[in-house]
Amino acid sequence: MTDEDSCKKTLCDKSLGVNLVSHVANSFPDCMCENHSVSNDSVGPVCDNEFLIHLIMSPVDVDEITSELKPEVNREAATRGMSCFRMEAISNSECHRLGAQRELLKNNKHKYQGFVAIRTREVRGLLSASSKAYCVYDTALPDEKRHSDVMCALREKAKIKEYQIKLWGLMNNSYYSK
Amino acid sequence: MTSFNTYQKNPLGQFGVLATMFATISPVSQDVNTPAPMPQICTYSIKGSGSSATQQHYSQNLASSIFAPSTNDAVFLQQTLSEINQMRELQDDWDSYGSQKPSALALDIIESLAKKLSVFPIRPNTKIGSNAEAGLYWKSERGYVDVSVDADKKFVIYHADSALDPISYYEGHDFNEAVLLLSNKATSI
Repeated sequence: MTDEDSCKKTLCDKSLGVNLVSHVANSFPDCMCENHSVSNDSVGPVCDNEFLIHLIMSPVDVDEITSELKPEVNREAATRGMSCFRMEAISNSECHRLGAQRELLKNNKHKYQGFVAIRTREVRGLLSASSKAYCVYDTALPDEKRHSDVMCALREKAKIKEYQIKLWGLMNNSYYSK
Repeated sequence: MTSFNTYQKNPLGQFGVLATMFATISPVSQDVNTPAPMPQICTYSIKGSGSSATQQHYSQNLASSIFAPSTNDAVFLQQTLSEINQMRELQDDWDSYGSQKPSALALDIIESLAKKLSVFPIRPNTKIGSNAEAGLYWKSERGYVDVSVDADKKFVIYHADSALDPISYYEGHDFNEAVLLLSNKATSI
């Protein structure tokens, strides 16, 4: 099995659930799966100049007084992977449309709050001892070619926490409410 | 098992060596929009190891005796308790990304923490992790402090400076130890 096949097999393994990110970090250090497409539905690996759009789907993730995002907003980046849409340019209307679409998809149980738009290079630029703290993978889905995931590449708990807070800082500066 | 990482910038050093004692905040009625007064602080040494029964007894007494909320604290506390109650209504997949609802035990613990920690000069905010954890955080121009509690009653306390660079990281299972450590952090926020 090639590295590319191994990456695809692991990153598509839904049975790993909340352990997916730690499993990928252990099996593929230094974001090595970024060198390949990890999905057969992908148009190719995520480039540094692409934007990552993450939808905020619960008021619990937003401080109602300051309108800032709360620190756990990127919690999935250390468990299942933080789902994003990749875009070459930010389109507010398109992002809001995706939020409304996700509300419908989830039977209106969730209230779309807004979106975060960050450059992939900013996420990959968070370095821990010269290694990337986060990897960005092209986890395209059959019905959503733009789907991607941000996954923590760190294994030490204190470091994971440190970079979760730093990523939150980035996300907070790039949050656009509905 | 308790673990504690202290980064070079930590001005207070290892927990258990120094404790910070706050003078009681004035109970005089204040306008809601007026910031709570900064507590007066003095520091002193505790002799012996951090795990001795004497110190643990002392810590419990200290933790239960120095937290007297002012009017502002009470207002802040009500906001926080209201948020915690809302969190009790959440169901699994509350964020649409598959996160578990926070555990009732974790919510009970952060409610107790919020009541104990009203000495922080700013309001605690609430947060929820993906695996049933719940927590509180404080953020100001001076820095960032958060505490998370999981369904196994494990505390994780993280302290960063204003640039979000780390100062300290702690894991443990002792409520009073967590309260005392967080009360020390109040001086940095």
